[in-house]
Amino acid sequence: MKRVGGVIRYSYVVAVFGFILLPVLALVLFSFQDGAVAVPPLRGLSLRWYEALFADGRMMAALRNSALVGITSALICTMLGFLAAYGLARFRPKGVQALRAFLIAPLGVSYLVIGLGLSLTFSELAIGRSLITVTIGHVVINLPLAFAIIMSQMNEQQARFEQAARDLGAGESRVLALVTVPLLAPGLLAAFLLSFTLSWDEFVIALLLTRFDVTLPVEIWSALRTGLNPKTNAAGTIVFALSIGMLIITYALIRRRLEKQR
Amino acid sequence: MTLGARLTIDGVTKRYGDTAALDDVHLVVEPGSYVVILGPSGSGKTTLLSILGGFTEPTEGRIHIDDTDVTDLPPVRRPTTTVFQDYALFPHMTVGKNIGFGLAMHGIKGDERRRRVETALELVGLPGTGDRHIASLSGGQRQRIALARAVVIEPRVLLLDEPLGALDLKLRRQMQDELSKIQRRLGTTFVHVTHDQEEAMSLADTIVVLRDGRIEDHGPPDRLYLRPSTRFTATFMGDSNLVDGTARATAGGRVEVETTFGRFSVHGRAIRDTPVTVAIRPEHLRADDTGGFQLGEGRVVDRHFIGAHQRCRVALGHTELILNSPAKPALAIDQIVRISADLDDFVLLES
Repeated sequence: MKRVGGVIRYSYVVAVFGFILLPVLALVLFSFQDGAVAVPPLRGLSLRWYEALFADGRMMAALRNSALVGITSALICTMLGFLAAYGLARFRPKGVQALRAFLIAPLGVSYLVIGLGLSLTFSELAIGRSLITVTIGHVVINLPLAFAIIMSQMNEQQARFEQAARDLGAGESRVLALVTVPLLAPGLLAAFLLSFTLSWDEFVIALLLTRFDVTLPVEIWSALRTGLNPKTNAAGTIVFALSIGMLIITYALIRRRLEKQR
Repeated sequence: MTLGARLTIDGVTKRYGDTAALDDVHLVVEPGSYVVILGPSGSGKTTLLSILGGFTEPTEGRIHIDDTDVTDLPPVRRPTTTVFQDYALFPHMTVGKNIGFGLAMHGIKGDERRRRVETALELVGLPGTGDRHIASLSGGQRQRIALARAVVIEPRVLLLDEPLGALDLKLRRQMQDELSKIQRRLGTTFVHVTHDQEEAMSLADTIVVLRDGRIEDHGPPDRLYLRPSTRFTATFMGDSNLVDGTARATAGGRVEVETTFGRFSVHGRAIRDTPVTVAIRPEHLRADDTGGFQLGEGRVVDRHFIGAHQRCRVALGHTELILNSPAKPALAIDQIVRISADLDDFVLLES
């Protein structure tokens, strides 16, 4: 009986992980396919599709666009998130709780709704769809998260460090540069990396808010419409690898921070 | 050597809504003196220190440092620095960077800064530790670094907010000695807040007893201890036996008091036929008849051996007195003893 239970437990775990990871594994594996079709059987390993990808001007442009949109929107998110968190934590305006909830609320709205709303707003304002509009879209969806991460790092002890710095003769700008920001650095970096990662593989808003210059997920999507092809697998693998890399860095940073506090 | 400044607190009141944390506080702190503000929690002592440092604005009243009105100046523009209760040492900087922070903010660079940081480290007894990280320091070392960081920029007035509160007893007594040594060497005016009366007595030139936002009493430690002017001071600063009585006659700065232990005459003033209280320290009572005034015979109810002395509760009629007598001869529970004392040690308080 006991052995049967154990078998069921292990099968369940294997099934769950298989369900989650198999599609990704298949995507990565068949990006190395030595042949023209991205389905089994695997005919051998080759890097030819990566070569083709790097030779593809549209794909490369989309990759650059994605990096640009990701970095810009993540920088804006981190900065706005920091300012909002600093203001709420240090100056405690009336209705702090409500303001906080209001800033985090967009997390609960679907990307489709936000994308449609922005799309309508931009056309109403006669602003053409471009990399700028998608950057704005990504700031809108990622700001709540960046704000929440940075806000969680703000505490009373930090306020006392700032007070001590003022007491020792530091003006407000030096308090910010020498005490507040260095102490918040892990939180700021985590907010930046997470915002970047989420922007990097975001599709719905990017599709709704771009036109000629598109980001990588949108370019992959249009490539898919003409049929499956190991080259799109290669592009997907690159998106996936960068996202995972970022998450690992973010996780390691937060872990180090927590260990330091102990 | 920095010369300490005179600190004048003129009618300072701080109200939070309807409650007054400080109520019309007047105090002059002499240049270069060590003042300890002593009070139970909630007495307003931390609020007062925060107002002196410029972190809290008083509702009413002015603060002067020498002849400058600093009431409206932010902390950065006051000649004060604060040693915070939790030290607030910057965790992302080394010991040397922490101490050098204030110097850097005042535009002192390079060799001059290094030299002054090292001098400050020597002053607090931690030379050569400039490269260490804050996280690697013990509580006592952090306390010293916090002190070094505050004094290195040569403030005219140093504010200390329960600076020894986080240390264990032995370390606390040791740091007390060092604090007063450092203060004498620097000549800076020190204002130190604590709820520990023993700490206050060992450090202060002047103790200010704060209670419910008002100054209850202030003066040198021995005066406050030996001749407290109020009931609160008599009981907050160490133990006192409080004996109720009635003033029967007054003459020449002395009052004839009638109590359950009989009639006697003590120093002080009182209105005839009004109730008064006499405070007697436990160590001023003797378990024999050698004192100038006999209180009567009592029975030992309770006895604890403390080391330097034995602490007993003795019942005399309906009254119980606390008595500290020398460790020898040992008293036993239920033993009948004669109790006496010198009238000069009695302190007359208003009831």
